[in-house]
Amino acid sequence: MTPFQLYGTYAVIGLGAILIGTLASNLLTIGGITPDLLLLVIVALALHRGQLPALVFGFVMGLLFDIVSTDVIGSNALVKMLAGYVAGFFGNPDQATTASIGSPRYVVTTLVAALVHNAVYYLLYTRPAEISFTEFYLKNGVAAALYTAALALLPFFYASRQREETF
Amino acid sequence: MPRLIDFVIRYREHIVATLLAIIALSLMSYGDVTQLGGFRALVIGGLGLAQQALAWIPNPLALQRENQALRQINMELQQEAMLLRKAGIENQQLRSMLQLRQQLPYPLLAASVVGKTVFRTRQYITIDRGSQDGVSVGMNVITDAGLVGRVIGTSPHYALVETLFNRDVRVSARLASTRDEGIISWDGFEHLVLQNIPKTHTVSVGDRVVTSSLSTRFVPEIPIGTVRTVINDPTSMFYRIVVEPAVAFWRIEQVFVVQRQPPRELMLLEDALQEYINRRMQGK
Repeated sequence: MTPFQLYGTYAVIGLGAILIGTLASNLLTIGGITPDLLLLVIVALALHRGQLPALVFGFVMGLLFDIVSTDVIGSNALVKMLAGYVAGFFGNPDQATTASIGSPRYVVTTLVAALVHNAVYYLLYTRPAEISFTEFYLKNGVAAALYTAALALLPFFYASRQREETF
Repeated sequence: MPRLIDFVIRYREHIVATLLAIIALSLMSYGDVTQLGGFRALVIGGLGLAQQALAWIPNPLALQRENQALRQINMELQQEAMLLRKAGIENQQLRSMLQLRQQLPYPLLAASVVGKTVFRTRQYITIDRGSQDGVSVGMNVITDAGLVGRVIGTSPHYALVETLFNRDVRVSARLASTRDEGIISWDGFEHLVLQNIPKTHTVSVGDRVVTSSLSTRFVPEIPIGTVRTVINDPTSMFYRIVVEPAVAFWRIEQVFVVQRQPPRELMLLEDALQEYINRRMQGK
């Protein structure tokens, strides 16, 4: 796969994640907690291709998400870029996609990236509002990170099965 | 020079991350999505169409909750029906005596909720009425129970409504019994908070909270909720009053758009004031 095809595929999957996250957010919500599907794609790219592509991808996709979600422009760009940056520390660009996503490291990295992502996002957003950051983060941020990490199990199981079949 | 190039190559990830963070923060301080103009209407229209197309997909958890709530309501309604038969006759007499208006003094436009969007600290609904139906930004959205929120964007056939469960929303409100004025905001969870009510005033659990006439953004006297808890914070001169919302936001299906456009001049003035407050809060 050429780099153009590879990043094109990630872009299409990223756009799909934005659309599903926007249109079906009500269906995915459990007890007011929504998962971050785009984060799953950013972490996969970070593990597969490294820190730099992941943080640029996170920034661009976050910006698109800001537009679609009517959020403050730049807020998701910042936190998704940060998530790609953090996830990049766990990356191994020499591995194949199935090896990256099919490893338990994918789920753990997703959890770490989601925790950092939500901490910064809620810090930005609870500051001007009459909302306690600690309480809000512990109740919503951690829960949302766990939910996102739980969803990371789906691509993880799929990729690890693909990996076993290859061997 | 080679050492600089070597430095940039070696630390390119961190340099790019820093640059992108600066760009993102600049965009955040520049403004919000309202500056996207026509593109925003396109996004709202597209999302509204897609959400309507996907509205048939059932959400088992929501259906379960709705089912429970409907059973509860059914029981309550059975009891209320008995009381209402008696009260109806009495009510007719009282209405004619007091010449109460049955409706708001503004036209109401019925609309269906075609989409609900939850983005962490913001909750929105999409309705199937847009600018072609006379809906415009700033109009209030209500149900028979009370205030839902405010229209923040329109496309020809759809409108996006910012609900009270949104960290940006502040509503000028008053206690219906004592007429004390305060500010309603979301507590971040399942309730609203009424602030700025001095401790020298009397507040009782169960008091109704309605929109105030001091703000032009919301039509006065629309129910917002009822006082659930009154917290006496010893470090503050004001009560922290937790309010149970009148509207069950997670099961809204039908709403009314109050077709009253707030005075533009006052809106601009209030927007300028809000922007000034936001800047002060951000330390600019």
